[in-house]
Amino acid sequence: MLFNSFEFLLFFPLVTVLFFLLPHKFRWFHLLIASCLFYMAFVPIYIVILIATIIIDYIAGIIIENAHGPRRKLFLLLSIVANVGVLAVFKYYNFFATNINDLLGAGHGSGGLPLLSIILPIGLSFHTFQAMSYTIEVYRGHQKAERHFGIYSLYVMFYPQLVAGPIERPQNLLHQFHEEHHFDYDNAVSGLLQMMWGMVKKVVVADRLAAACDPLFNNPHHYSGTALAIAAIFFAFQIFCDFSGYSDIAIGAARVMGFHLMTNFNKPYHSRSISEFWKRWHISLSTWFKDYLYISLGGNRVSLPRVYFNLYFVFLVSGFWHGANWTFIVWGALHGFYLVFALLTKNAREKAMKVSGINKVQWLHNLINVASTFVLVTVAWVFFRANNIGDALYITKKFMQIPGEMMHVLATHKLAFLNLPAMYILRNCFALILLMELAIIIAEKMELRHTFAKRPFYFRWALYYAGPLIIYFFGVFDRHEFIYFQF
Amino acid sequence: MRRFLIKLLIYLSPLLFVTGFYLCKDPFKVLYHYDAYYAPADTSYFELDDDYVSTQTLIQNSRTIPYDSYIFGSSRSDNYLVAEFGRHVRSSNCYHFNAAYESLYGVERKMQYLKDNGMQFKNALIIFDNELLAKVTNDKGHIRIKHPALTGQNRLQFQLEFFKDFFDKDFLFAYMDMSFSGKLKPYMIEKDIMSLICFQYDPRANEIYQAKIENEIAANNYYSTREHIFYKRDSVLKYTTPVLGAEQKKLLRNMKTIMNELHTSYRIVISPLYNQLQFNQADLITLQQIFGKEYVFDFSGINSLTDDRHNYYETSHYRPKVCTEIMNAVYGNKD
Repeated sequence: MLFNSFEFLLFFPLVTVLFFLLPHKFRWFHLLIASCLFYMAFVPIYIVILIATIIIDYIAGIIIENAHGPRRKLFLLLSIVANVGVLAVFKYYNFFATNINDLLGAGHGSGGLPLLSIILPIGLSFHTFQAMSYTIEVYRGHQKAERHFGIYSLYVMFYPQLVAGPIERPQNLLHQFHEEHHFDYDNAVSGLLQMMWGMVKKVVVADRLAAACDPLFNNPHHYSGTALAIAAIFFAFQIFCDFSGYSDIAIGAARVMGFHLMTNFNKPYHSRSISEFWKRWHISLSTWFKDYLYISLGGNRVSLPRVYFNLYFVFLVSGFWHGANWTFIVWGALHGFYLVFALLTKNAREKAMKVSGINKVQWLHNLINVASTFVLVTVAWVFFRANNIGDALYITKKFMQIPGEMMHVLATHKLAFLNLPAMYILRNCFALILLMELAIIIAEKMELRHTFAKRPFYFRWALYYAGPLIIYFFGVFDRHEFIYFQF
Repeated sequence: MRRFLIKLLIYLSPLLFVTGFYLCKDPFKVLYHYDAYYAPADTSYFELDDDYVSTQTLIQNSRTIPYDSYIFGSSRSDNYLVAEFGRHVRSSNCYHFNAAYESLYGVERKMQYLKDNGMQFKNALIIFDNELLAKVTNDKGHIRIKHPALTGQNRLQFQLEFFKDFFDKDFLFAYMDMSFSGKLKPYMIEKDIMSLICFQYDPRANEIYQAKIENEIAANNYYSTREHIFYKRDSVLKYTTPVLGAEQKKLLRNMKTIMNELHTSYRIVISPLYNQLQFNQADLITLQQIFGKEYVFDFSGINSLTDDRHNYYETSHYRPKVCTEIMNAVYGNKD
């Protein structure tokens, strides 16, 4: 069931009202059933896979806690292999098989590896990582094994974050299912407001930007470098609004019931470096990779070349996590390259800023850093979004023609050759991006999150109605899927 | 929590008002029972779900009327008048079991419904065209979605489809405006939300007859003001793109099986459309192979029917006189 669907509009209030009406001891069961129904609204049979991995990890957690020596590691490995195995079969097998077949020059059914006709279970990448986080933390001694099977199942299946995160840690989420949650007015209001904000980002901004940039990414050879650059910018904001919008709805829905999920996005396009970007974008995933892969590889406690390798490797895996396609792998590799290059050139860049005097003008320094980070991230997004590597390379190559195109525009005062999207589309999309950024900045300046309840009645009620009215009048309702559902 | 619920109620009051308005007015006539969905000389402002009206009227009427002969198809089959059809098939219990924007899926579901409910199915006149044959799934939206009695769809989901469309901002505003003002305003027509729809309706046969238009034609007032509608056609014969794939063939074979089991006498007509596109020959052969060459009649392409624009109301629907000629041709003096 999608968050931006009519069914969810009925599902959410029903589940929430029943949650508060039920005695505490039955609430876990109610939420578990609701989460099962939520998941089964996609492809019902795939709940079998989810239940299987839950059983394996539940048992593994208890055994790991009780065991000593090599047995602990063995069961941790078994749990990881089971989770990664499911991912490997459902998400990556066809990718590997196709590539091996291409290498060997074999086709399907003619000596090559057979391809599987299976649909990726929704949310697979998210809940397997969340489950692995649990067994790893039990192994490390940071989390006691959960004895209550129902509560553990709910930890994995909790519907607000089941299909697209945030990828929670057991230390944050598990204990909340044991605690009794009383209805809290402020939680309910702030949770609903966050859901509304998430819906605005998804339905008004993301889906409208998608309609504008999809034709360009689907047929890049028909467009100029300038048009493709605009499409790349639109996609950068589309994916931000789509994914952060989903996270907002998930976090808000949980908060209404009194559950606190981790923040997943923190103004990522205000980052002054790629390193900072990854502290602000998909925070739950980046911290997962940092804590369970990067640190396990040695982190930055090893030699410098090894640190560079660790960073690059982690981002390569991160790209692969996003999808079984070379475009995602290149996207991850690009970010790995950015980070390593930034480390390698850190001193030189700082010297350059000092020599030029830019570092003395703080706002200019920040602006240059934010702008250059945004450009690097947007170029990488081209690989993330493009239909194939060929298209991505074509698009990035076309960016080199932008200066020439601008010179031609200045000389001829003609824009038609650029084959830009229609003026009203450009105007509406840029206006939306600007308004959204303004809203984020104003909300932060006013410390709205913490001071909202103290604001005057008319201010609060104007906001309560503004969201639904904006969604109603400006929402795009013929597109439904969230981008990260495909992962 | 009480304070929150009271505030929530106040907050939702506009939504509750509109919902209450929908439940009271039932604009799409899907919530409650109606003896007839249109008046005999009906004036409507927007389309109802024709499939729902067609099917629900059959369900209600068949309790007292032993229908045995049916005309299937889209709105293009509207003008095959039951009086003439009944004369050809020697039945006085004929019914337009059709729907606007009909699909092959819809026709197959209707036949399955007749079989599943043990209804007599002696005669079928099936009016096909490319658009109808292409569609093999249920539609969405308050105008095209199929009756749940045909599809087995959950009734709540079916109702939600209409409820959602009621909240379409253009429709909702126009409907509320018209409900309170009682007037059909220019913006409603310009935005294609509503218009004055006049026709004669016979609930017994579910037959719509464009009396107003026919009167205008008879008074020589109709075509002179509509020259711009009838575009110039190419004199070079062109063919429709093939549409009969695996799913279409499956549905067509099921229709044939049903008609065989119920010993239905049938005729299949490929409509003579204004676009003068000849029905794809591979598709025609497929239809002939499934239903028998002698029962499939192709009136498409460039011919005396399609050449004369006076045979059409506009470029999509042909007039009753064309249907009369077709029925005479397909039934003639055969069985």
